[in-house]
Amino acid sequence: MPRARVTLCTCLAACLWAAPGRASPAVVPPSPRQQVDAVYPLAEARSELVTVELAVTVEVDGRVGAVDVTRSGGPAFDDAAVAAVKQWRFEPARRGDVAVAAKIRVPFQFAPPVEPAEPPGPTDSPPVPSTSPTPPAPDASPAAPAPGPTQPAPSTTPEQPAPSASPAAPEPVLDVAARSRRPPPRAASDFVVERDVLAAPPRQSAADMLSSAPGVYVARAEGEAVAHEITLRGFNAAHGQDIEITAGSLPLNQVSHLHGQGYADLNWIIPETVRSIRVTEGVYDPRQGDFAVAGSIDFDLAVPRRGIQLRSTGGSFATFRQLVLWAPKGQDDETFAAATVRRTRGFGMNRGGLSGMAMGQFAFAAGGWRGKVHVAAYAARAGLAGVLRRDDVAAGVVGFHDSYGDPSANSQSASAARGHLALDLERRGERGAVTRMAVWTALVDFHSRENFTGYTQRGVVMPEWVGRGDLIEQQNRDFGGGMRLSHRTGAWRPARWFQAALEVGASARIHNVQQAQNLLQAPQNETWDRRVDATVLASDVGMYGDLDLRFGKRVRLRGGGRADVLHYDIDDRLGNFIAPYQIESHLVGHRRTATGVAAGPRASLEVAPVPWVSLFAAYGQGYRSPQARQLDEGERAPFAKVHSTEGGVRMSPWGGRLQLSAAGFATFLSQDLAFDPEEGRLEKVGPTRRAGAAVQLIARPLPWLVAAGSVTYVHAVLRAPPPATAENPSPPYVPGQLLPYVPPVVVRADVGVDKDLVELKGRPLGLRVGLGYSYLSPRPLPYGQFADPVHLLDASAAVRWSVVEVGVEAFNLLARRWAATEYNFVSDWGTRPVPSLLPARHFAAGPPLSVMGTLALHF
Amino acid sequence: MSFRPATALLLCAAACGATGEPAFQAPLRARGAASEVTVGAWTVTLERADVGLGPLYLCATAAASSELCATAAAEYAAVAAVDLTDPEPQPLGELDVLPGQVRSAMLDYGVTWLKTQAKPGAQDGAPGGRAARFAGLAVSGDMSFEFTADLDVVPVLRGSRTVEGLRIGPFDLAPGGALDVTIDAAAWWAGVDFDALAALGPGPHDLAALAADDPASPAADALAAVRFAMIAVPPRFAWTAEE
Repeated sequence: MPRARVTLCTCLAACLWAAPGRASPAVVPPSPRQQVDAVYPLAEARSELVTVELAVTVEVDGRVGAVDVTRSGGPAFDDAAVAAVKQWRFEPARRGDVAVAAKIRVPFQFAPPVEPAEPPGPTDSPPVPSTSPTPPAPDASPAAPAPGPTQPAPSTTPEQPAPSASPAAPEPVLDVAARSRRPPPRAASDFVVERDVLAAPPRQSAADMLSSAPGVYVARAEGEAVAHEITLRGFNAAHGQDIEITAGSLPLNQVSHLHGQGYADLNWIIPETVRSIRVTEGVYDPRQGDFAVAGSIDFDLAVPRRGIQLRSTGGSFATFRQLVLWAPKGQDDETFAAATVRRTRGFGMNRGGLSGMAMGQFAFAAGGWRGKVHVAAYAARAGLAGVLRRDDVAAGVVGFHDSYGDPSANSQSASAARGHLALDLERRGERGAVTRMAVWTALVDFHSRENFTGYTQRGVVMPEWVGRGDLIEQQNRDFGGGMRLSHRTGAWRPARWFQAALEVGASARIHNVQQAQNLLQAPQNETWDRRVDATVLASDVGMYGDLDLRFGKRVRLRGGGRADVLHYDIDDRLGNFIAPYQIESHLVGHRRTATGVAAGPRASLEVAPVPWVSLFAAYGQGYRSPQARQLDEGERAPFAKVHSTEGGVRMSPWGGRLQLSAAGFATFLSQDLAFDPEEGRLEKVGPTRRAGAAVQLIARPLPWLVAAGSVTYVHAVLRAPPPATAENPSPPYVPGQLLPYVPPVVVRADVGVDKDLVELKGRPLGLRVGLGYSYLSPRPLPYGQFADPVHLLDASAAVRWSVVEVGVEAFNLLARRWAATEYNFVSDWGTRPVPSLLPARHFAAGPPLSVMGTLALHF
Repeated sequence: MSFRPATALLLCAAACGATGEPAFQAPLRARGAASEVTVGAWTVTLERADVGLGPLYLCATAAASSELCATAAAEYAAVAAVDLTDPEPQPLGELDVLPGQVRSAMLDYGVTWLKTQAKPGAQDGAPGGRAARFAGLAVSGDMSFEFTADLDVVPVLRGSRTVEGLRIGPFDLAPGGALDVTIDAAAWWAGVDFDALAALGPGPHDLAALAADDPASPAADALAAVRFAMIAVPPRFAWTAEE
């Protein structure tokens, strides 16, 4: 259902000034702590901007009291605005140290649903009273905000004069809302996880926040410096191979990454700066590009709660994290700077890590353009415990959370570093026209040493070298840049029952990727075999067109097409390798180029029989670019193509306080990838098919309570896995087999309570409690095995008073011994006299129960 | 819907559907084929023929080797001594099997040179810590002598198997079956020059000791011939279904 693109500008309490001569301190107006977007009443959709203005009483405890419509946009829009604002929470207005009730003016702007709504730019809004450098008029005295007709004088400040009720008193507007949040959904499974849900349970990283989206499972199986592994609605996306992941205009997937195609490291994102996450499950939007196979994920980075935040966290396993966040008051939510340092000893052998990250954004407006500069840097290094055989753990050879006591196992580690810069520009025109431009550049380095199989490898360069340990060293250094352009026309309305808009866009990116893979002999890490030494130049030029047609008030058809040209130039310095038993007839090295086109349509149909119900049907074709080193000279770059289709419903009854979505889906992928432990990377497993259903429910029955839950079921099978070959006589997969590593059932529940309990010395004492629960059904593994199911419960509680918040966070509260990921393959760790050549279950342990204490100061 | 049916539905949803079949175990049996062989004018009767069998791997490829069969289809990851003078099946233990077809095998005779072993070594279960131990009587007319031979047969390369690329079957391995191994120890002695051994004297001859004393002696040649035959005349395999 298209959601209202609400431009939220809060009018701060009329900074009325008390009578001359009074020495009362100035009133600091209330500031929103939690905002909920209004839901666009689609059945009443209009082509023009609709404004609803509310007079809102913010009580001394920060809750919303009386709400009056002072400017109506029509009953449906009025109701939507009132329902949304009643879910808001504020830091109350203050006079000195005393909280006072205040009335503020809150204008909601409902942009036409053909167009992502954007609030006025900073220049469109008057300055913020509380932060305005302009001093009050000399003859003005501080005063309480203007009360409405029903508002009593602030009870906490009986000594204050009654606020002026003069309707003529100006009520300056504060642009408290951020930029436009999200475009309207394309399908029933086009989800936005809002900040209140994201902040409900404790999170250790921004990637963990993805767990709150239906059908998503996130694991950190390879330590603190390697990207998370993400499973999305039947796709084992590994480190990002099947999900296009972005942070605004910045793409995060790395092409032809040695560790895994589409590798996307989200560890640089500071979770406190994530305002919302859009998770589009499926491919229905022409803007979705490379890697949008299972869908796409976009992080919206902004800090709604303004001010300076210092947060220290410490607890189990000598873990410590320090956050410094500065979100200048009065500035756009997208303007902030933040930095964190985190170190941990880890929950078992060889799991310690240290990381640091800093990021900043500055939103600005100039010459009719709105812009944003984003910059970030990140570095991390961590030990890796690696995987363990389940039979070794059962036999007591090694502890569940330990690592093999072996030099090759203990030499496992990973490090990562990145720096990037992005600039976004946007200009709005009449009737919803908008032009966007963005450029970005990024340098990303990855280095890992991992041993999955123990001692099974034989040297390729020196075949007589064996038994030196399968410690695979991978290095991938990517320097790239790109841009995005788009223009959406203004709405064209030739008839009352019809309107249309067209968006055309282009994107381009180019990467220079240096990559190497070797085998190392621990503990000196001597190189004993070379597997990869290559430079890849990868470029992608994409174009799309997106038509938006509306038929009356209840039917909307969107769709278009996208085409991408991908080009690769590969310098494979170990190509045409001469084996020791061959006569040297040439020099080693193989340079080649390949180009290909991926094109396909995307379309979605939306029908809204009643204002709070939307029915969706959607279809689209997406693609994943190839691993460059697998291409031959002149080959038309083969793309993994996906056909994605879905039907479903979205409902938002009860004024949007209840949101329900249900969808059935099917996807067909031409070439899937699965993890190959022997090489430590992804390998082809043939075409796959998925079918299933997902249900999500979000309830905000009370201003201080949010609950979200989802259940996703998917039946994912391999249609034609690679047959047995001389090189692989015992393939791990058979046709019709359940797709490995994909949990058929994923359940997720989040509950958040954020309530002021009592008043203490004039300030509210607030309580925040959060729970997050995840369940994964047994995951199929190669060779007919199943991983154990996963139950995880995380919880947090905190109390706050004034600028201080003290809390405790518990992860894996049920103290389950669980596997973050499981595999089934052959290994030899020397734990038995005669090695087995049959596949055995291996796992990477998930964290045990860990408890963290937090102390936060918010100024 | 009550909780129990809902749970059942959830579990079914999680597990229902085609998967690859999981591994199973099948009996492994071995027996000797013959204990008497005629070599020229000599009739040789083996009174003792113990051999270490294993580790044993069955593979789907046409020619199993340590490099072409990194993942086996069935294995006996242990070593057991087999009395090759006994023609009755001797249970050795359980074979771990992945369902599917096998077409080749590779094995050691109790002595391995694993990738993690600096030099070849006998595994537990090898008879007397050797690959094979023989004792026999050679008779030709009125001449006869007794002999013993404890010997090792080892892989030629570190990380390889003593016998590789052994074509078998093909067999379709399925639960309920059993693997029978037949080893013809007498045939291993068919290439030995017993006339030369007879020239060593009336015996009994400890061929291993004699070979150690004189690497050019007929005893050394005899042991080399047996070692060669143990690879050239490998065990025979038969899969008995629906046991």
